[in-house]
Amino acid sequence: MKHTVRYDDRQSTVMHVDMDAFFVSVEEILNPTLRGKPVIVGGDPNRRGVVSAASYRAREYGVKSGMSAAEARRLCPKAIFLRGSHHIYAEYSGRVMDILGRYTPVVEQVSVDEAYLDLTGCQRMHKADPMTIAQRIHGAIRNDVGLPASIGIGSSRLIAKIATNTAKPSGIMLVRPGYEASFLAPLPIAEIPGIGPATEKIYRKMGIRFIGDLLRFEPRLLKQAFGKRGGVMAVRARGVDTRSVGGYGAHGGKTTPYSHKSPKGLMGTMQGGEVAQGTGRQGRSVSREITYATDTEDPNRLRATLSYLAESVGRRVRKSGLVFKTVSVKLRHSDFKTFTCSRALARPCDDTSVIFKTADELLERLLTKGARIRLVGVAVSTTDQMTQLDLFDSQAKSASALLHRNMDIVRDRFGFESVLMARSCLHSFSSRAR
Amino acid sequence: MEFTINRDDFLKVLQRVQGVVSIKGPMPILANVLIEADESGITVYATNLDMGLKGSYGANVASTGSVTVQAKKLHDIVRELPSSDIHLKVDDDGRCRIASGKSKFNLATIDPEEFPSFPEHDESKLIGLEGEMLGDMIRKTSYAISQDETRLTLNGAFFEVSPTNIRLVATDGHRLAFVEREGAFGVGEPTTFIVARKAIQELTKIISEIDGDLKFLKQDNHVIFVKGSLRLSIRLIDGAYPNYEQVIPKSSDKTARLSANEFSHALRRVATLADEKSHMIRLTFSEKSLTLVSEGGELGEAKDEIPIDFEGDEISIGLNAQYLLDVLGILGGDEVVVNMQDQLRPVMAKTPEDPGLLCIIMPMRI
Amino acid sequence: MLKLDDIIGQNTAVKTLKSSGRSGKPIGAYLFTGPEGVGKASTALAWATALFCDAAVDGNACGVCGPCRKIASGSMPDLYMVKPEIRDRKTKQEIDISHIRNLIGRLAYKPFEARLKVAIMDGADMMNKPASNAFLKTLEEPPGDTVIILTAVNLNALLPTIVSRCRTVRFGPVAYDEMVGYLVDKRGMKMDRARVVAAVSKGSPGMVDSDAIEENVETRSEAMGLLSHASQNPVANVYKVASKFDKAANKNKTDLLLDCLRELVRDMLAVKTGAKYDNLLNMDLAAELKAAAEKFSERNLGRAFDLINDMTLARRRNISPLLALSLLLLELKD
Repeated sequence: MKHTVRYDDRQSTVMHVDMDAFFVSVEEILNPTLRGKPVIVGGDPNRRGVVSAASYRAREYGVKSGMSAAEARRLCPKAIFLRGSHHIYAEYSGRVMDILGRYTPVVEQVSVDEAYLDLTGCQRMHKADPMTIAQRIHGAIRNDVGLPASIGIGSSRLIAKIATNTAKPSGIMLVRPGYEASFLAPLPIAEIPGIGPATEKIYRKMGIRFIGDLLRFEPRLLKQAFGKRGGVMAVRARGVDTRSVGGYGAHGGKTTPYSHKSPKGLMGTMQGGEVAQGTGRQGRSVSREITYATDTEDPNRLRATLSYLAESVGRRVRKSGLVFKTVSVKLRHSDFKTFTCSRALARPCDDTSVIFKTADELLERLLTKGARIRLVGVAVSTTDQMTQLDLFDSQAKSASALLHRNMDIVRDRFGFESVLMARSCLHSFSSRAR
Repeated sequence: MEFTINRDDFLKVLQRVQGVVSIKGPMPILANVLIEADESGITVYATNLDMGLKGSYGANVASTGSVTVQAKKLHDIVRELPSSDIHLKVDDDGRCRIASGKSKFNLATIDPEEFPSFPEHDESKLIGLEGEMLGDMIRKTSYAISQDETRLTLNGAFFEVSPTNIRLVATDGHRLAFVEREGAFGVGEPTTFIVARKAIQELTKIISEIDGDLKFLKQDNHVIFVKGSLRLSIRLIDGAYPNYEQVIPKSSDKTARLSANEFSHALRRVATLADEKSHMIRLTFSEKSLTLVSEGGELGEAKDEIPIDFEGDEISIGLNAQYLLDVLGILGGDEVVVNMQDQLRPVMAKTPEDPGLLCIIMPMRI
Repeated sequence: MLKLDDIIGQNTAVKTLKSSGRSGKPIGAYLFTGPEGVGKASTALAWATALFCDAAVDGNACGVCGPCRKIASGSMPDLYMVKPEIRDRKTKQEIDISHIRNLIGRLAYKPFEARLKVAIMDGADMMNKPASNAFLKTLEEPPGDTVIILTAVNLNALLPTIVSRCRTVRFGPVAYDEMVGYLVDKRGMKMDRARVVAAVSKGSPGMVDSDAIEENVETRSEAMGLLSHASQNPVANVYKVASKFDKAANKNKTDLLLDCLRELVRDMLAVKTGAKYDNLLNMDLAAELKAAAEKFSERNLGRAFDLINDMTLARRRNISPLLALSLLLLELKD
């Protein structure tokens, strides 16, 4: 009874757990001699590819995830490059998530190395305050799995996420309820998820550099300048984020981006789709992109890749029990200029052939003659909004939907490339031949 | 042409045709109304090509002939005139002169030759139809007609007439309304056609407002309805109507019987907190009860439970509450019977009081 | 009342249409492409009339039956015309989404009285993007009993997916002799005038009635005058001649003059190198061109031609007309 006073279970408490240099840390477990060395997981620097993760030692040289492997090598010639084995990462990821699941039933995994936990109402159960729970989780991940993690705790997703960034590496940061705004104020606005370099530039022009600066602007003005998102930012700057943490059940099963093995023999680097943050009705984006080992201008090859990517994205969407409502295509030219184009569908669905058909039409628009293409990507934005099914639609499309569902079953047993659409094979073969 | 007509009668006629006049179209003459006078009286005809209305009225005809004048202006003039006789005459110079008491008007005309003709039809082939019955059929289906401009064939009601029965179907792809009545319809062969939503509204008006027997005939690309002295021609929608029979569930292993009144009240209660856009609520049918839950709304959740009579395995299904309320409003009666198969297949609601009426709703993915 | 056989100089196109009309209803979408004013829209209307006509003979409407008269008076309910318009606050002529929605809504109905519906979109290359996308759906699932005719000058301005869903019918410039024949027989022009107009309108009957034709005729004769006397002009005179144009001319006039000069010099070169008569752009001036060409060397003409092209480019950067013309005339003097 005396605990009721100490633990305020009515206060919303969100915890964000983010693994430190996850891929690299896993590699270090597998090969302890790598410890303390600049390690980069990602492409082969002599060819193509993008850095997926870099050890903190490598980061000191300026290496960041997302940059090209060649550039990383230039910055840090001593770096040890690893191809990465995503199924092993997925396994470790699973072990971490299992630990998190012991502390609260509401765990939302947002990517392979990151999750939100809702601890609201859990304190009495653990007979501990959030900080103590965080320390236990931190210790359990280190002792049971052997990996370093950083943890942020706050009254909302936003605060928890930003607290984690502040706590890195291997730290725990708690923002007390009521101190959200003063915690955020001195941080650069780019800390707010959703503000990219482009948006940041615009904010800078308005004289907004720190989150605190946002408070000086009337939400109405921000709304005028940035549309709906501006309004959201004004609210976020005050530390308010009403998005709740979805549990395993919310999306009909947990989603792991690396849910299947990277195709063997593919010389280009495949990046696992970054699953964008956010839950609820906003929907998430499921994407996949491929960087060619050598640039191509062959439209047939591009279409084959598109088909391959569509199959991959489609499978992931279905696996998560989601439906998608927009399809987008991304092309990066050999000069790194990047073009994207997207289209909303009349009705949400989960059919691979719709992804391909739409993506193919978008490709036709994006493709300029003679352009040499370095990277192709396909993304869909899903919606878990309740979708009204269509009386006639379901019948018209059932043949192809059924086909892809059956292909999923085969793939569950024998792997992704055990069965492919004919036009995707061209991609697979041409990549293999190289 | 010259005739005299009672102002009130004339105004009523002109008011009725205003709805089918096309003011801003590519053909200026469609803003006009065609008036023809013969020994027996006058006929007034207006059309926007999608719909045409033609009525015959008694008048004192001095000389026969025809004229077209702008429908709105003629209506406005007649409306402002006092209630007495109106004299209308077309002069040799082509002007239409209207006089009543001391008031005099003259209106520009367009050659009647240019006016589209009312679709030709064989009077003797008109088929009798009970007006009240058709009105009821329309009332019970028209709510489901699509408003989606990209699915044009669904923007109308589908008629299917055979020698022994008549069916009316409407759907917007999310739900479907079907009603069937038996009778003797003098059609040689089964005939089908799609009538646009606007025309359905006009037809409903005529059925309820005009006295006399209802008759109809499908003639080429039009269907003609005759009620008393008025005839309505409707240009039919082109294209194939979807195969509606395919989506009417033939069998069902889950059947619930429940009080329509209780159901509708529970729905209304729970729907207050349903997501405002999707109106979705989750219905769980089990042996003794139906649980209604609304979740995912911005403000909170609601839950309610009502007793039902249920056969089959427990099922949880997501449905648009508004669609259900529409259906309950249409079904009427004390008891409603709900047939289901699974979460992703159509749900069918019926009432024992009208076995010819089927209301089908497609679930929402949950 | 235009018949298909009245269309001049588009034999291939007319033949294609006649043959597709022969096998019952030629339901589907057609794309008429070709230069401005060569008769795409006229052909579309003539063909559409024949499709509606109660007594058409081999693709030619009778012109007297009910449907023919209705089309002539613009009151055929089953013929839909879509044209680019300037909508409020826009400066650009275009076909926008409301045009297309309206058309789609109309085509949803069965024909009012004819056995088919015809939609003519004159200037389909002026559809904006949303309009094109909306229209694409109609082409993918065309309404029943409907003939859709699109006309376009610039194929590249159309979505490739639209082009690929239509039968393309090509229109070209009308041949010179055919133009002359048409102008004399059908338009009652005197032979001399007809030859001039035929050359200046560059095979586009649509241009014959335009205001630009007079200006073009005049400018061309001025250009010809310049060339005929260029070799005799003393240097001092060059500036006088050139400045006359400088004053008289607004910007467009100078550009037009350059265009005429280019074609004339091109023809003189052709004559000089022994090209055949019917390869000339200005066939009506064959004799004059031959005489003028005598006075220049081939090299001179070649350089003049290059210089005209340079001047045209320089004009875009607003070089003064006086300078441009002086340079040219001096070149021709040598």
